[in-house]
Amino acid sequence: MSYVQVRNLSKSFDNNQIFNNINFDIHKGEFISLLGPSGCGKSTLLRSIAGLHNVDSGNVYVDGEDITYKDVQKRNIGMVFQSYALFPNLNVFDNIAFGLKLKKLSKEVIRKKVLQIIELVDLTGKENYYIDALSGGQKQRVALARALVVEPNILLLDEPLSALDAKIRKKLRTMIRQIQQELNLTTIFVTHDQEEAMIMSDRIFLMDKGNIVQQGSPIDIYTNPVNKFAATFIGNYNILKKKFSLKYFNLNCQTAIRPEAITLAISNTDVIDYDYCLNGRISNVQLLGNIIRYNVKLDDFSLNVDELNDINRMRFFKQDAVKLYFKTKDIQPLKDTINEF
Amino acid sequence: MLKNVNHYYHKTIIYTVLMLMALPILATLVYSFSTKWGATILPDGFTFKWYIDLFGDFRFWSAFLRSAIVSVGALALGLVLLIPIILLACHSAPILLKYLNYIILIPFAIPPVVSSVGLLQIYSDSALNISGTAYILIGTYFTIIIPFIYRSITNSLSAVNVHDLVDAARLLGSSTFKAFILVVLPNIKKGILTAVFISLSVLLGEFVFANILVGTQYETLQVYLYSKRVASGHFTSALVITYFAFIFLFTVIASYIGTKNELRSSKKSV
Repeated sequence: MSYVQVRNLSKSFDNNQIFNNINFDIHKGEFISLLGPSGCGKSTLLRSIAGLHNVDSGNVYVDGEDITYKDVQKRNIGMVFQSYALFPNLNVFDNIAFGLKLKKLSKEVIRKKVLQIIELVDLTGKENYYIDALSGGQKQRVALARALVVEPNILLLDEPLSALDAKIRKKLRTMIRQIQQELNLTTIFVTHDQEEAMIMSDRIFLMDKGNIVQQGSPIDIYTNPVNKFAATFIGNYNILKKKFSLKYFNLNCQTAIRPEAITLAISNTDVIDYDYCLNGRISNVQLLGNIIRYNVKLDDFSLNVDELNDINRMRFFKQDAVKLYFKTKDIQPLKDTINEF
Repeated sequence: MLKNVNHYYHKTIIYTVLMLMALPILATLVYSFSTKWGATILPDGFTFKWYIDLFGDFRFWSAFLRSAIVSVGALALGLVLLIPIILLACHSAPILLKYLNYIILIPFAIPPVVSSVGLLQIYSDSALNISGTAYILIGTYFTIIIPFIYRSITNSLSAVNVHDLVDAARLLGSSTFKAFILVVLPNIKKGILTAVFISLSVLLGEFVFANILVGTQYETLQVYLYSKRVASGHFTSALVITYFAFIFLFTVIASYIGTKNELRSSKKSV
């Protein structure tokens, strides 16, 4: 049985539907990402699960218990906010101890638990620092520690890394995932960053306009986008209009092709395994670190092709005439409707 | 070089303006210590007589105490009523802040003479006979300090993410009320203190309402000062300087607390 069950959850503000008829299940210890663009309803959905917003209809079950109308303070849900929401009047120790003090635990127990969690998030020595004296990454670790120390049933993370610089973000996402796995903590993570969602999650729920358009493992979501939104939001898919898909691949719908799934060569003697071959000319070359992105102009449209920046591979230059090779399995037909998985 | 010239030029202007502003206070201070100061540049002599007379006058201490009672009473009423309203509006109904912004202008818009006459008319015929008592003054003073309390606290709140702080506290097991007490109030302490000191400074110096609404029936510090205007210029100067000293003390305390808070937040605690 699933640990968290969300059933037919709907929420609107002043006739504006934020999310509609949301259903999903999460297993104990799973790390789930709600991924989507700004305004798609992912944060409101998270806050509704936390009880910070009342829902219009539907239910949320945790470990078989219906918590839809349970008081926020009795849900035992930990949450990390994008703004950190740390208490500036308290130092690191007291911020983390806040929830434990409300539980009226003894001073000894509180001290032991707080110091343990401070060590876990690598903040030893910062116990007496006030919040304003910490960096963004340290603040977010305090927020994480504060949410974890009360041993919540579920951990909710509302874009906790979006205010941090790239280096700290990479370090923290690894730390969060490690801690989550160590504690076997059921976690729901809200983000608009597909890379973050891919790296951290067991499963991704892709949201658009208040609906979950696709759910699955990161690899599943990445390789099999169900519609144009999913294909454009995840990765840098080439989207082919219906008329071109029909003309070149005999598919009567829009199609998506991953840039790295196309093989470039000068002649077909270089490629042995392919289903379709088209002719084109390199119109632009971009070096993206470990990837070289070629923009190839065909008769009717352009395609991006990504190749590994490997010194032993053949390089192409602007205006080179090339052949593009495709395999049928890499040409992904797209559904036009949402809520179809 | 040009930078130094500009620097001196700016300093000269600032110190000249400060001197001009301080001159009347300095003159009053010297006058309050002088035995006689008539046609000469400097006084004939110096004395503590006026201060001894002032501090020895029971009426002065009574008036001071009355001023303190009505000021603190009005302030307590203001804080108790306004802080919850502002916090709730800020947290649950931000649209109300728009209306509150207009409402707080009313005490400034209506001249004290007009509103005091209105108040006298209302309460002289009312079943609630509070004309001439401290109660009417406390009520009136409450309205005067609304803008100061409101502005200080909303300014302080603008630096705090009330919503997230309260939500975070609730998720950790606190009730909304407890979250306000434990998390929000300590973080707007500076705003509350600012409101307290500004309000007390204004109320201790208030004369028009006190004179018209209660007069000598409940003699406050400013009404006492007014009644002593014909006694001796030296005596009233001593009174004014004493009043200034209190206000100055309040300002120093407020400034010290503000600086202490800022220092604490920028350093680690020990």
